[in-house]
Amino acid sequence: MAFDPAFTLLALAALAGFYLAWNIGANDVANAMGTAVGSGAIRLATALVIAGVFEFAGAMLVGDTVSQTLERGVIDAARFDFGTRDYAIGLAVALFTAGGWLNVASSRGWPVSTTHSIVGALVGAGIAGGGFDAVRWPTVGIIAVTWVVTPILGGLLAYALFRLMQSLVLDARSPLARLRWWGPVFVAPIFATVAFAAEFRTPALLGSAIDPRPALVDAALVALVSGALVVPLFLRATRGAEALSHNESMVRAERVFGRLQILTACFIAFAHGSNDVANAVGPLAGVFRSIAGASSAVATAPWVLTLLGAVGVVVGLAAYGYRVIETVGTAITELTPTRGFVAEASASTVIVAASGIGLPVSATHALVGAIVGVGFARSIGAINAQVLRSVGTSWLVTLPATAVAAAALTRALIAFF
Amino acid sequence: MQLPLAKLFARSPLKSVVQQMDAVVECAHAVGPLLDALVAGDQGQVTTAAKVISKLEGAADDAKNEFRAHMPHRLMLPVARRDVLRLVSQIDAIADSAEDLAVLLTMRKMDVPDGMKAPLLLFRDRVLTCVHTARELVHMLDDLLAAGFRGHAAEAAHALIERLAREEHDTDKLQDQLAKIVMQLENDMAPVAVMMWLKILKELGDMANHAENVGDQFRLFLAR
Repeated sequence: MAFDPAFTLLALAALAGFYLAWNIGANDVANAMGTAVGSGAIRLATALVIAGVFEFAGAMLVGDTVSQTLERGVIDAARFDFGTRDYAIGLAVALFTAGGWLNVASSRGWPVSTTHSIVGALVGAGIAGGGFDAVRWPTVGIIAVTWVVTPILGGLLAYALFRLMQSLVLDARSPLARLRWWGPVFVAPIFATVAFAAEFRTPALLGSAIDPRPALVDAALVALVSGALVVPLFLRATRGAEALSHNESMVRAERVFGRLQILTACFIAFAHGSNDVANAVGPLAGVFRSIAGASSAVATAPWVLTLLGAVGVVVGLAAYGYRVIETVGTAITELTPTRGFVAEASASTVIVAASGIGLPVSATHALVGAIVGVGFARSIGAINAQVLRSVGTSWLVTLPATAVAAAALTRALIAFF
Repeated sequence: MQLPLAKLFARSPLKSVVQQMDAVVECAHAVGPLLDALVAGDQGQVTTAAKVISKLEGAADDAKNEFRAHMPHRLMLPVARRDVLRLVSQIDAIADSAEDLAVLLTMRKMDVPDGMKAPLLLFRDRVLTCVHTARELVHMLDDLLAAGFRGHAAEAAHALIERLAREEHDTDKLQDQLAKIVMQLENDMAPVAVMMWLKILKELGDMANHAENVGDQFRLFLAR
C-alpha cells in the first residue's frame, strides 16, 4: 500500500485522541471513583467495572453535546480552512498537547483539569492556524467562567444538600426511621438529572436553543417512577428502625448511605463520561470530518469515535488509574458514607447539567468544590486549604501553557508537512 | 504520587487534642497521692509525688507541642482555629496548676491541722471529678465531629458542660470553706503557713477552673 498522508494523519489523530482518553481515565476517572472507594462503599474491582460501564453510558447518552462544543465551539472552522490538512493537524496537535500537559502536570502533583487543557490547546492551535480571529473568544470566555462557577456551584449544592439531610435525617432521634421516606426523595433527583440531561442535550454555546419544558416534564416523571421503585428497598433497609437506640440507628443509616454510594459512584462515572470523554472525542471528530468529509462513514456514525474515547478511558483506568484510586481512597477515609453520598451526588448533578447544555467543565474540580461544601457544614475534620490554592493556580496556568505549546507545535508541523 | 483529592483531607488536629487531654488527666491524677502524702505528713512522699507530677507535666507539654505540629495555617476546620488554640491552652493550664501546686508543697513542709484533713481530701476529689468531666467532654469531639456539632451529640455535650459547671461551683464552695477554716486557725499557725495555704487552695481550685474553661470553650464550638 502506498503512503497515504491523509490516512497517516487520521491514524495519528486517532492515536492522539486515544492517548488523551487514556490520560483522562488514568487521572480524572480514578479521582472521581476514589471517593467511593475511600469511604468503603465499593471495592476497587467494583469501581473499575462501574467506571467502565457508566463512563461509556454517559459518553453515549449525553456526551455528544460537549463533543460538539469542543469540535466547533472553540475554533471557528470557517476561518481555519476547514477541510484542509492544516486544520486536521491543528486539532491532532491539540489532542497531543493536552495529553502531554496532563502527563507532566500529574507527575508533578498539580491538580490540572483535562478540560482546561484541551480548551487551552484548541485555542493555541486555532491561533497558530488561522490567527486570533479563528478562535471564538466569547465562547472560550464563557467556558473559562464556568470553570470558576462549577466548583462553587458544586460546593453550594453540597452544602445545601448536607444541611437538608442533617435537619431531615441525621439530627433526628432515629435517623434510620427518617430515611424510610426521605431516602427515596434523596435518590429520585439523581435519576431525574440523568434523564433530563440525556433528553435535553443542547450545545447551548453553539447557539441552538430548544424548549426545556418537555425534558423537565419527563425528568419529573422519571423522578416519581424511580422514587416509587426504590421505596420497597428503603422499607426493607429501615425495618425495625424505631426499636433502635440513637447510636444504632445512626450506624445503620450510615450503612444505608454506604449502599447508596454505589449509586452515586455510578452517577459520578456517568457524569464524568458525559463531560470528559468528549475532551478526546470532540477534536478527534473534527479531524475525521475535515479529512474524510462530512458524508463519510465516521461522520455519519460518530458513536464509533465515542466508543474509541470510552475504550481509551477504560484502558487508562485499568492500566494505571487503580493506583490513583488507591491513593485517593486511603487518603479520604474521613469521608463517611453520608458525606461521600452528598459530595458525589452534588458534583455529579452539576457536571451532568453542564453536559446537558454542552459545557465542558472539570469533574475533579467540581468534586473538590462539593467536598469543601460539605466541610462548610462543619462535618469534615480538616480540609487542607492549600489544595484549593493549587486548584486556583492550575486554572490560571493551564490555559496559557497549553495554548502556547499547541500553537508552537501546530506552526512547526504545518511548516514541516 | 500527589493528587488533589488525596491531599484535600488533612489529619484533624482535634484528634491530637484528645491525646493531650489524656496526658493532662494522667498528670492531674498524680495530685491524689501528693495530697495523701501531705495529709499523712510524709514529706518524703510529697517530694516523690511532686517529681512524678513534674515528669507527667512534661509529657503533657509534649502532647501540646504535638498538637501544634498538626495545626498548620491553611487548614479549614469545623471550629474556629482560635477557639481550638484556646482550648489547648486551657487543657494545658490544668497540668500547669497541678505542677505549681506540687512545687508549693515541696517549698515548705506544711502541717495539716486535723480539722482541715477531711475537707481538703474532699476538695481534691471534687477537683479531680471536674477534670474527669472535662476529659469526658474532650472525648466527645469524635462524636461531635461526626454529627457536625449538631443534633443528638450536641445535646449530650451541652448536658455535660452544665454538669461540669455545677461540679466546678461545688469546688468553689469547698475552697471557701477551707479558706475559712484556715482563718479560724490563724492564731495557731505561722503567718507564712496561712499565706501558703491560701496559695495551695488557689492552685488546686484553679485546676477545676481550667477544667470548667474547657467546657466554656466547648460552648463556643456548639454555638452558631
